[in-house]
Amino acid sequence: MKNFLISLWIFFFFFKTSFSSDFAYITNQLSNSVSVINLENYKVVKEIPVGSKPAGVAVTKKGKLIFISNPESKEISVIDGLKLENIKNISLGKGPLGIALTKDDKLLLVADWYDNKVRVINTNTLKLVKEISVGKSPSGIDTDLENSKFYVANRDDNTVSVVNIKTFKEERILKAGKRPFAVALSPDNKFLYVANVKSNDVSIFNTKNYKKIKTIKVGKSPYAIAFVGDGSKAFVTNQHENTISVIDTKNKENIKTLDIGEYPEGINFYNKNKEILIVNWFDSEVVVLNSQNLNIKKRIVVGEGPRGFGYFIGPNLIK
Amino acid sequence: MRILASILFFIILFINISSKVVLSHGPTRQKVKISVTIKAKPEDVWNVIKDFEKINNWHPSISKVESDGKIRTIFYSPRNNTPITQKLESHSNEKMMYKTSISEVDIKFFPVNTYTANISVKGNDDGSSTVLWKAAFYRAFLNNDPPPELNEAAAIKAVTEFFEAGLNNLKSKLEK
Repeated sequence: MKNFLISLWIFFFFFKTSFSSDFAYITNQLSNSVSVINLENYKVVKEIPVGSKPAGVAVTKKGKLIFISNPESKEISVIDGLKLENIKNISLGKGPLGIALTKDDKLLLVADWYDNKVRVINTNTLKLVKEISVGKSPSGIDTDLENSKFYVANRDDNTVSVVNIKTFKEERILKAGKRPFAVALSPDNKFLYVANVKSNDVSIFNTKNYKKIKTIKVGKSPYAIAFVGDGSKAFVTNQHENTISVIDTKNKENIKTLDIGEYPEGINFYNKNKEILIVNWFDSEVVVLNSQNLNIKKRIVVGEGPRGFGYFIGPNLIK
Repeated sequence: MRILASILFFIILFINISSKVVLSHGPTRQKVKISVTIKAKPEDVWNVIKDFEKINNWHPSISKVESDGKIRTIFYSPRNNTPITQKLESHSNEKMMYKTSISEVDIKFFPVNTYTANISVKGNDDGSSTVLWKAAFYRAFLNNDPPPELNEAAAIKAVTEFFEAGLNNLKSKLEK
C-alpha cells in the first residue's frame, strides 16, 4: 500500500511538472491592477487590484509571493500566488519604484525615487530590515547570482551604485551615460548593462573590475533590458521610438531594430518557450516575440498603461 | 553687498529650478486618447491637418503660430494665450500621422511635463475617417504630493480640452 502511494505520488509529481505552466504578472499603472497572464495559452486569468499607480514587480522563484511597488500610494503590495489575491500592503518610503529580489528570495530591495534610498525587506517577516542611501532618483535594480551584490541605477546622478548585500554598504559608484534607468546583469553575471534614457545608449561594464568596456547606441529613450537564457542576445525597449533594439552580446553590437508597438517598457525573457515578452504602455498590451526568428507570435491585451518594470514571470500555482 | 548676495541667491535658485525641469519627472506617465469620426475621405482630412506649421487653420483655440517647419510655437488662447513650443518628431504622409513633443511650456497655464503626442487619420469601411489624437505626458509637479493645479488631473484636463476643441472644430469644418 505504501509503495502504491509513493508511486502514485511520483506519478502526480511528474504529471504536474510536465504540465506545469507559468504566469506573467503585469503592473497596470493607470488601472491600479496587475494582469495575470497564463503563458501557456496567452490568456489573462485574472486582474488583481493593488495599490495606487503600480510600476515595479518581482516574483519569488516558487511563485508563492509576488511583490508590486506602488509609487503613488507609497506601498508594496504583496500578492499570494496560490490565491492570486493582494494579501497585504506594506507602507514604505516616499515613492517606491524599482524592485528586485535577491536570488535566494530572502530579501526584497526597493528603490525609492524620491528619497534616494534603497530599502530592504525581509520576505519572510515582510518587515523593513535596512535603509541604504544611494544616488539621486534610484530606479532599476538587479541582483547577482551569489547574493553578494546588487546594482541600482541612480537616474538623476548619471551613476550606478554597487551595493554589498551582506554589509549593505555602497562599495562603488559607476559612471553611466545620461539618465540611466534600468540595469541588467548578463546571465553569467560577467557584464552589467545599463540603459541610459537621455543619451539613447547602453553602457556595458565588466563586473570584475567595473571598467566601462563599451557604449552601444540604441533607439530613443531606452527603458529596460532583457537577456536571452544563454546570454547571446540582449533586447532593449526604446520607449520614444516604439521599437526594440537587439544586441549581439558577443561582439557587443546593436544588430537589429524592430517595430514593436507604442511606448514599449518592461521586457522579460521567457526561457521555457524562448520568447521575449514586451509590455507596451500606450497600446496596453504584452507582445510575445519569438527570440530566435524575431517574429511576433501574439499580442495580449492587459489593463491600462502597463509598465511591467522588473522580473515579472513565475510558476503558475493554481493550475 | 546684501543686494548682490540676494541676486546671487535667486540666480542659484533659478538654475536649480530650471535644471530640475530637464532632469526629472513624477512617477506616473499619463495618457489621453481622443478620437472623432468625420464624414469625409481620409485624404481630405489629412490635407487639412498635415501642415505642422498651420495647426491654427483647423484648431480654433490657437491665436497664432510661429514656426520654422521643425519647431512651432502655438499661442493657446483659452489659457491666457500662453506660448507652447513644440518640436516635430516625425511626419509621414504615407501613414497620415505626425508626432510632436513639447520643448517649452509655462506650467502655470499648461501643467504638463515630458509630453509627446501623435495625430493620425484612418479610413473606415463606410468611407468616413477617424482622427485619433493621443498624448503621453507627466504631471508638471516634479516632487511628491503635488498641489491640485499641478497634479495628474490638472494635466489630463489641459490636454483633453486642447484635443477636444481641435477635433470638434475639425469635424464641423469638414462636414459643413
